[in-house]
Amino acid sequence: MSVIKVAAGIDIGGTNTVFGLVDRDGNVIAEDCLKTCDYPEAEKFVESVFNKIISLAEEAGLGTELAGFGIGAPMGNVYRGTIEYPAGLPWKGITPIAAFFKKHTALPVIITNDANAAAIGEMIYGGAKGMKDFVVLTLGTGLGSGFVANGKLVYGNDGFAGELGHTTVKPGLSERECGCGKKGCLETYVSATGLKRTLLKVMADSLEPSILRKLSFEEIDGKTIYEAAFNNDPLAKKAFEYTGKILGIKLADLVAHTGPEAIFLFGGLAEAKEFIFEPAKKYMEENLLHIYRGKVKLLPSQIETKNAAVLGASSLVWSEIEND
Amino acid sequence: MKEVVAGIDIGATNTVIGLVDRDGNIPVEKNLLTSSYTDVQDFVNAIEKTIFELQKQAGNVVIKGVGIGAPNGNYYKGTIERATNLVWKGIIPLSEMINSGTSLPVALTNDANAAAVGEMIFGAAKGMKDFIVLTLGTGLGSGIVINGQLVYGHTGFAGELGHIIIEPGGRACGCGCNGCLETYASATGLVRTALYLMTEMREETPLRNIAPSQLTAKMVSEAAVKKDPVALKAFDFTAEKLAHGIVNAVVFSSPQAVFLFGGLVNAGDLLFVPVRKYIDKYIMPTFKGTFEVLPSGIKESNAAVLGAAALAWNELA
Repeated sequence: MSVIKVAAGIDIGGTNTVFGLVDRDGNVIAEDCLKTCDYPEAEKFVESVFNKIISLAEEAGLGTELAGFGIGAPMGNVYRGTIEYPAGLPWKGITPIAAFFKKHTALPVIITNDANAAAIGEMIYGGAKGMKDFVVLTLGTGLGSGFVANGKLVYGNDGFAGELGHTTVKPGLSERECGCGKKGCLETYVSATGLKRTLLKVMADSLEPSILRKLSFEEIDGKTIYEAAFNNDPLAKKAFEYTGKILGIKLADLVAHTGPEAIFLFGGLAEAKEFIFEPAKKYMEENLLHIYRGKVKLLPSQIETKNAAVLGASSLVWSEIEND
Repeated sequence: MKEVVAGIDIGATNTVIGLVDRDGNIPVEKNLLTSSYTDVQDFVNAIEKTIFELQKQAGNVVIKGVGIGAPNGNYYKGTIERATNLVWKGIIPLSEMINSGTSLPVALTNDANAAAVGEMIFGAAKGMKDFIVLTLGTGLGSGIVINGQLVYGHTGFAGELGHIIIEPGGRACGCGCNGCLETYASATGLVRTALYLMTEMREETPLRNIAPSQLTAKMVSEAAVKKDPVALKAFDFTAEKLAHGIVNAVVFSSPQAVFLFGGLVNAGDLLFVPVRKYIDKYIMPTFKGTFEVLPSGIKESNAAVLGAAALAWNELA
């Protein structure tokens, strides 16, 4: 009987933690979750997650063999195996998550942030298979990014490299406040929240009618704006155009740093298809140094949205094993 | 026999007609539904009928003249010209039509000019020769008085400070231009600014739960009174734009006072304190301390009719 190797992928979020067993081809064999906020103590949290994963493996049958644990978490540090000063998690300060897992297992435990995990997921299971230089941007509430250079994720000196969302748009000129305490960060423009903020700015500037004027800021989300744009709403289209423009200009900067073969967009905003890709591509090309023009692919992520976080986390394990 | 004039305020929805004496008392008043008169001659007939009804009702009065405040009113020609929110299109010779039915002298101008004359005859500008009135409502209207006379200009349409461009390439204005003062400094402008600030600021505000089409200047004022950070900043931003408009106007005509009138003025210190602060900051030194920014001395509920009546009295003087 042949043994199927599986990696455990764990996605730690502020509300829920989702985990699953994933084979080398990216099939999610089993999945479960628990409420992160039910565990004020991180050590108890790890114990529960570990036990539930072992149960999943047992239920999956004798033919499965666990290869390791990959964890995606806000402010996850790959070098120290820690989560450091996360906003929105119950554990304050520095939490040695990997060390807590190591009390239960001798298998590899790798932790990083969710956007880095998404980048490795793209490389192992998705559209970046076989690529050595690419970037993944995750466009959700915020903007996360993972840079892969020469086949390896760029973690930098301290493990927190690749925070494109917190580079500045229009330095010194933007007053948009970011959750990080700075003003004018890219994610205040290019994210689901940024799109919403831009929509309100467009509404304030314009006199054109729009179905979206009937919804409060709290009621609007990326999907309502997409649907309005799809139905030719002028303000929604302007908001997308502006968001895509800011993104495109920043992508041109990004290319000048690492010269990627492709840039993948993942998350809610990426699902707005041509409304985001067209302006992003146009303004990227316009702002690229001539030596890069026409050479960088701008693509949607090939990772299924539904299981993306677990897939990304699990891919950390394969990447670790296969690089050794 | 007491002498009175008929003051008529024509708005898109309602027209208010009142008889007004020389002291600004309004003994009788009546409303007509403007939009129900698709034919302007029917409207003129209704106005004439109402004036004489009011005269009968008041008893023992003699009507000396008629003053009219109307959107896009042209003082020289006595016409209403291409008013976008009135039912009658093109150029309406309203003064002539009312004069032919009543044989009374008729003076007509736009509502903001009428407000300025009202301020001079009945309000806080009594005895002043150089002043400006800004009406802050849905838009921003203005009446400029120089050497005791309202400035009508070459065309009869002078004094449109709401349409000086304060932010080139800025907010779209109903007039077709961008960045007009009234897109910032008006009740509507305050609402637009509150929306804009919600995009910049992260502070929590109940204003985020209100649909933009439902949000009113009054709601923003009420939030500001409760120290809502977005609403407070919206007032500060609005005041800064208004101050820019005022300092630009002051270098033209060097007034003794600038009066603010209309719904936004009810916000009191929320508006006046930052307006005065920014005027001090931006005013050319020559004019520093040479003028005051004051609330109008005319009660809002009577203002339009009083302004129109003042126009008539001013003609008769």
